[in-house]
Amino acid sequence: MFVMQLEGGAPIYEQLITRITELISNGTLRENEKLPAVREVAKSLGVNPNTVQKAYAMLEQDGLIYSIPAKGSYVGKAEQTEEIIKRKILGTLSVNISEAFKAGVTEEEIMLLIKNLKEESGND
Amino acid sequence: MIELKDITLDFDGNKVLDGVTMTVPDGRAFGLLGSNGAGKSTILRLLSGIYKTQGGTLTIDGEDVYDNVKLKEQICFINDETIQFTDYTLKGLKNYYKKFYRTFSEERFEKLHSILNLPMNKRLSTFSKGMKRQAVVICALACCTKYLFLDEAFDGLDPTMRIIVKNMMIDAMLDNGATIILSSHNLKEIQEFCDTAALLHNGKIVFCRELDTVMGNIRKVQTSFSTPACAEDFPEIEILHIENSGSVTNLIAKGSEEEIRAAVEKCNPKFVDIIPLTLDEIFIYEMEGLGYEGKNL
Repeated sequence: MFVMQLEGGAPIYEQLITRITELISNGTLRENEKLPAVREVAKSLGVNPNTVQKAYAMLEQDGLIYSIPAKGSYVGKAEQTEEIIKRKILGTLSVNISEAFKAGVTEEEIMLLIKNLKEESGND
Repeated sequence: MIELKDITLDFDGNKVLDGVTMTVPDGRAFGLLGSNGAGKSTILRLLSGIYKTQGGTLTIDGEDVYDNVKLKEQICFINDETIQFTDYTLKGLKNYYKKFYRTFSEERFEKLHSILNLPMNKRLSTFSKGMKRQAVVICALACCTKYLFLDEAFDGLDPTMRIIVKNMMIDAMLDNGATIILSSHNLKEIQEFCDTAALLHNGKIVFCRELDTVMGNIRKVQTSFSTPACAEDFPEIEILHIENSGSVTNLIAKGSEEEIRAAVEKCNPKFVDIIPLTLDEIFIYEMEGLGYEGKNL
């Protein structure tokens, strides 16, 4: 089951999509793993089943999950989901980088940040 | 499907509903919001066939509700008052519902009753307010009707009971394709449970839309400019509210995040933070626009 705190004004289906994408991205949900049924998710979060269905439908459209009629929804193939999540992260990153440029951060500073991060993870 | 077209209702010269038009497609959970006296209960009573329409048309599955026994068998209404049942015992109340609703499920009643364990043979007048409400709610949920209308849905119910009611409504939607309309002042609950909502004020519809669209179309913006800003600085977007405090400008604006960001960035802000509004905040700002506000008191 998805443990999550619904908050603020962001549409609930978006919050669900974000949470499920996170769980696939960090490996909690593995490829071909069955997602909880719409009914269970709706009940555990106290939300409308149509909303859960909408989130599942959009995740399926994105290619992160697939569904088998009368059986349920499953996490997509790892190589495919990794590719999709990578693209999503690059999208967010490009927004952040252009904001950074606007705030006066230089290319050199960003490159230095990347270098430092690489060294840190290399030391692990 | 429920369709209201230009519904007008007059009580002793008071216009209670004034040109209400709205559609509730099948399988939805529909929230009725509004100020006190806005006409929410009146709509639910019209939909349940308790009141007769005066002006306009109201149909459920294409038929009139008033005096339509066959259609009424598919409708269960939970009134916000339980006073009419105080002479009944829970056993009597259950039989009353069972007699009227052929879809009444003994199994579902037992399941609900086993959780609450209310006395079956005591009069409802000896029950506490919450227990009375529980008694009516479990009888109504056991009716398994296609349409379920709840006035002040979660009023007088404790947190556990609220979860039980929500879970039963989820089952009803998934198992019977039930259409649910609920009115509530708890907007967080409406925001979480409903997919569509209508906001009423003085008998008129302010908006009637899918909640994702409502929530997605109004935002709070915190930003900062070198000089105080006014609404005219952002001709591309609709500004509902603007307030300058020190070097910070707070806006409530309509539009997508991209539209709002583009309009604000044209004025060279030092920063822009865009936060979605909660349904509570939307209610307050929409009402403020109609002159209904409490902050000046």
